Parts: sequence; structure tokens; C-alpha cells
Amino acid sequence: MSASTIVDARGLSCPEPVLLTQQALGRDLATFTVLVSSPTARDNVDRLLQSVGRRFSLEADSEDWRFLVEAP
Amino acid sequence: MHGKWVKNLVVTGAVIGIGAVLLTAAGNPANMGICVACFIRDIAGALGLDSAVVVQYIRPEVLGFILGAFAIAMGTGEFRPSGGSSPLIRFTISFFVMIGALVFLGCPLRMVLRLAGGDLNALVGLAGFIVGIVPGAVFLKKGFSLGRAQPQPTASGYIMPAVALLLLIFVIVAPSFIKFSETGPGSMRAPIAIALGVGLAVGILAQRSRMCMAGGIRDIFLIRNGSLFLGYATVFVVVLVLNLVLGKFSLGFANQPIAHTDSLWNFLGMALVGFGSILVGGCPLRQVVLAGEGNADGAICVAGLLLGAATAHNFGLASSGAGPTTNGMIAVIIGFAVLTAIAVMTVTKRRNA
Repeated sequence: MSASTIVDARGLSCPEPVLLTQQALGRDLATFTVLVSSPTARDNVDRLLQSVGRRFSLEADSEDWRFLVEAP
Repeated sequence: MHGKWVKNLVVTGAVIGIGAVLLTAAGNPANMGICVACFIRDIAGALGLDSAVVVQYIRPEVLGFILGAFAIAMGTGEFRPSGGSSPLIRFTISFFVMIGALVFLGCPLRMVLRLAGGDLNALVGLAGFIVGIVPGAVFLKKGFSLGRAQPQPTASGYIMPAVALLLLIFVIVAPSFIKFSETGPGSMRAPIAIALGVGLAVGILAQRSRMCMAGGIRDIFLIRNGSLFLGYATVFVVVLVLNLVLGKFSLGFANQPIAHTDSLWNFLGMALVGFGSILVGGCPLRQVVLAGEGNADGAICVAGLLLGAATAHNFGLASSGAGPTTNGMIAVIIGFAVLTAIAVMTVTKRRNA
């Protein structure tokens, strides 16, 4: 998998954004990006990444949130 | 962040618990301080969608959930009208969630309140609820998805709060075309101000904490995280303690308020609720809160619950204290068949996509 993998979870309802992020975490990707569009999904993905100890940065634009997940 | 969320959940659970006991003391039916399914059913009756004369009242609690969630979402910038994720499927599943709830006699929240009152039939219901969540979680892991919601026009997000406001006017003014029960559970009601106040508080807190019973159990299975479950665990503990202190705790199966003792159908009714709630991403309380914060998919679920309630009473599907009805049993079985068909077809479609 390339470093540009994007997990697009925009518009998906609970708990799909978390499941998709979990799948990405299980795929041994160095870095990847997760896109979400609801505050609930943002909080859930944030908590998942913190719970597994992955470093990430979170960017927001007018519509969506973008998690840039760093290499483990 | 995690600690703050857990605190929010515990506070939400405590307020729901205290609020439920307060509402019962103020006039709501026993072990039914709050019941999202029963209250939506009462609203269906009040609007004349069915003709069950004992369950007609516009419950201000539900209006409070919607308006509270709306107000706090506006205040925090989380009012983001969205929708369009398989609306007809959400409507259909929610319809059957209501059937299951009315065969059991309560939503997941009332199930917890009943349990905390010593009603062991609710323990059977809880077992069914958990067992029903498992196939839902399995389908999710296999790729079940109702597809993406899209941003919607702002007007879309104002519709449910506007409807709630209109219904609030109706319950206060009590025009003659709105039906209010004179006997039965629909006639047992806390004063409007208390009911609305508790509803607003719960709506605000549940929006902030995203509290969800179905989601709490689902997360334990799917992501091995029990945090979301803490909300309902707190409801149980708070109500249990208050019931013990107030002498309202009565342990047993028989003679429980607004409940029946048919274990098979208590189990299957709640199993259908659990299965359906997972497929639509949340139990009835969560759907009402989502509807309040501008989520049209949540609003569609509420509409499905409303029609399910009216249908349940028009066709004799809802149980009573005497037990479930044959029609209700058939409807629950149809519900399992429909939900399974939807889930199987949706997983397959995504795999082929």
C-alpha cells in the first residue's frame, strides 16, 4: 500500500468510520488519511487512534475533518 | 478527551436516571419515567394515527429531546443538516424496531428502567437485545452499509425542531383535534413543565455525549471498548438506588407495571430492537437526538418509529399486560425476515460494487 492511502468515511453512520479506520490500522500502512464529515465520527476516530497509541494530526475545513495518521 | 467523554456519559446517565424517577413520581407511568418507544407511540395516538384510546398524549419529553439537541447543536456548531443515506431502508427498519419494542413493551431505555425497578422480564429482554445485536455487528463487519449521507439544505435541519415546537404548542393549548387519554398509561403524565425540562436536559446531554444503548453494547463486540456502555450502566445504578431508597423496587416476573411475563416474546421483541438499532446506527433515543441536530436520516427513523407505533395499535400487534398477541408474534417474525433480507442484500451489493 502506498503512503497516500485515504480512508473516506465521509457521510457514513456509526460505527462505520471507526471500523474502516480499524481496518486501515490492521493493514500495516505506514501513514494514511481518514476523512470524516460528522462531529461524532471525528470524536470516535480520534478516540480510536488515541486508544491504540497512534500519533496523528487533525485538520478541519468547512465541511470535513482530515486525520493524518503518522507511521507507528 | 476520552476522560471528558466518559464524564459526559456518566453525567448524562445520572440525569436520565434522576429525571426518570422524578417523572414517575410526578405522574408518568411506573417504570416509564422515560420510554422513547412508548412516548412516540403516545404521540401517534394523540395525533389520531391509531385508535388506541389508552395511549394518547403528546409527550413533552420527546419534544424536549429534539429541541434540546437542536439548541446545543446550534450553540456548538454541530448543527450540520445531512441525510440521504438509504432513507427508505432506515424507515422500514425503524418501523420494525417499534414493533419489537411494543411486543416487549419498552425501548432499550425503558428496559433499563424496568430492570432497575426489579422487573426480571426486562432481564430476559436485555438478553434478547444483546443476542439481536450480534447478527447486526456481524453484518457490519462483513461490510453492511447504508451508504453515505450528504449535506442537506439548511431548511431540512429545521423541520424536526419546528414540528417539535408545533407539537409543544398543541400539548399546551390542547386543541380539540388532539386526543388525550382519560384512562390508561396515556392519562398518566407528569406536568408539562417538568416533562419538558427533563426532556431538554436529556436532549442537550445526550447530544453532547452521543449516548446510545445499542452502540454501547456494539462497541464492546466490535472495538472492544466499553466506554459508551457506561451511560446506560449509570442509568441503571442511579435508578436502582433511588428505587431502593423510595421503596419502589419490587423484584420478580409477575405483576410488574406495564409488562408481561411471556419470556420468549420479551426476548424476541428486544432481539428485533437490537438487530434493527445496530443496522440504523443507534437506538430510538439516539435517532431522536440525531433528528434534533439536523440529521434527516435520524428524522426518517423517527418517522418509521411513528408509523410502526400506529400500525402496531391498529393491527393489534402491541402486547399488553396480558401478554403478546398472535398478530404481534407474526409481525416480529416478519421483522426478522425483512431485516435479514435487507442486511444480506446490502452486504452483497457492497461486495460486488
